[in-house]
Amino acid sequence: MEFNMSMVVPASPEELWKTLLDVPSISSCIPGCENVEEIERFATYKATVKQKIGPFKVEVPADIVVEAMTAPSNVRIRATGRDKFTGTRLTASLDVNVTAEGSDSTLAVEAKVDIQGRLASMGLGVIKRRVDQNFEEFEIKLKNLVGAA
Amino acid sequence: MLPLPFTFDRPTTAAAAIAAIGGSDDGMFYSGGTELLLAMKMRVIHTDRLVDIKGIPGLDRIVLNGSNEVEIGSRCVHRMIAKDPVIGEHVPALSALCANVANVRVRSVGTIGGNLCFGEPHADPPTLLAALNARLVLQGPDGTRSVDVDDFIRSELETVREPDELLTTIVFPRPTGPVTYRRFKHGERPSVNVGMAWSMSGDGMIKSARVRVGALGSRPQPLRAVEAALAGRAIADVRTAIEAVLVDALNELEVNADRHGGADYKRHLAGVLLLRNAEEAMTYKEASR
Repeated sequence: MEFNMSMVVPASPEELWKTLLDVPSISSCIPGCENVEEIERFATYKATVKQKIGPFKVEVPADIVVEAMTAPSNVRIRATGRDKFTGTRLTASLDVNVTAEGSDSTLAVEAKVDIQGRLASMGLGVIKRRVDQNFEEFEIKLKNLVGAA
Repeated sequence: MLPLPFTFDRPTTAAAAIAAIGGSDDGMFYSGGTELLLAMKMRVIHTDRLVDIKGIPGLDRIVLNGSNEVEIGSRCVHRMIAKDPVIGEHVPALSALCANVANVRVRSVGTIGGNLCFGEPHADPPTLLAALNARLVLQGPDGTRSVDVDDFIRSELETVREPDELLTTIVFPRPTGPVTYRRFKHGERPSVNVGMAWSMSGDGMIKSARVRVGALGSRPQPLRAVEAALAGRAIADVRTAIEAVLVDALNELEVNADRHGGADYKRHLAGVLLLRNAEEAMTYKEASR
């Protein structure tokens, strides 16, 4: 599944970049993201992602690798993990770009999410819409975070 | 595969069942289990406690109550509703729907309440029950409340029911006009379905109409423009009235493309099914009631 989203954030690219690299803050904008652990700064992290769709729950301890980083405009991240309950394998690759938009910035995220295993049988339509909702929530939280800074 | 371990209760009263869920972390009511047990075996749903409600008397009755409403107990299985004389007399469209839900195994053990509480968008009963203006009676630890079917399903697989609220009864006014339901399906679940209920004013005129389209978005949706076009119409003018507003009404619907088909295709199907429902409803004879 591929997702493309972009939003205009009321901050300069440098400010936005600083927020993006502030791992505890940025992970607080990701719905269901908990227990973020830094293994090696700007290289490897661990986190748990929890999601619930009706009675269905997933809990994915994920290994997060920063694959490439070009300050202050681009970062590529890869997260992999297995759902604690079903063993479903999830992989998410994120390509994040920051560009100037007048005095604000545009944050563009290209995401690829792959789901292999029993959860995929839930129907990807439901999962796809959940990912969309999570991006919407992320956008709101990030704008609040930047606005409060 | 086996589900993860859980405790199992079989209380004999609704209050005990509700208390059992309230006292657990993640407990769930269980009756037919047609969705729940499969999901537990696949381990996509896990619970620390199953509360079997099959030992609670009184949840599987179907009656016409003193207020001229049809009451269906939440634990009625589809097969029972399909064969029930009260439903057959007053809402034959619901009998037919229940006679054709899913497959024979599901119809024999799957309950109408379970179907509603699962909140699966590709389901038959929610659409027709919404057209019938049904309300759902939920019993919780602090008493009961009623929720309109229209407001019950929040989104895919999510309803407004709290985990320790037991759906006990489905209630709707006895229909006073034709009730029609149609669906199109590729497999066992409807790809698109349309339910319609008219109230008649006694002189071949439609007093009011309720139209619901299901399986397109996350829950059944009303076609308000079609409802408005039908209100106060003579039966002879129905087709013209619907066709005048249909395209715009369908374009306003939330439609998810999924394995059942693309958005435009599903919208088109909804229009076809609606017009076929209307054709059937037009043959309704009040004298025969």
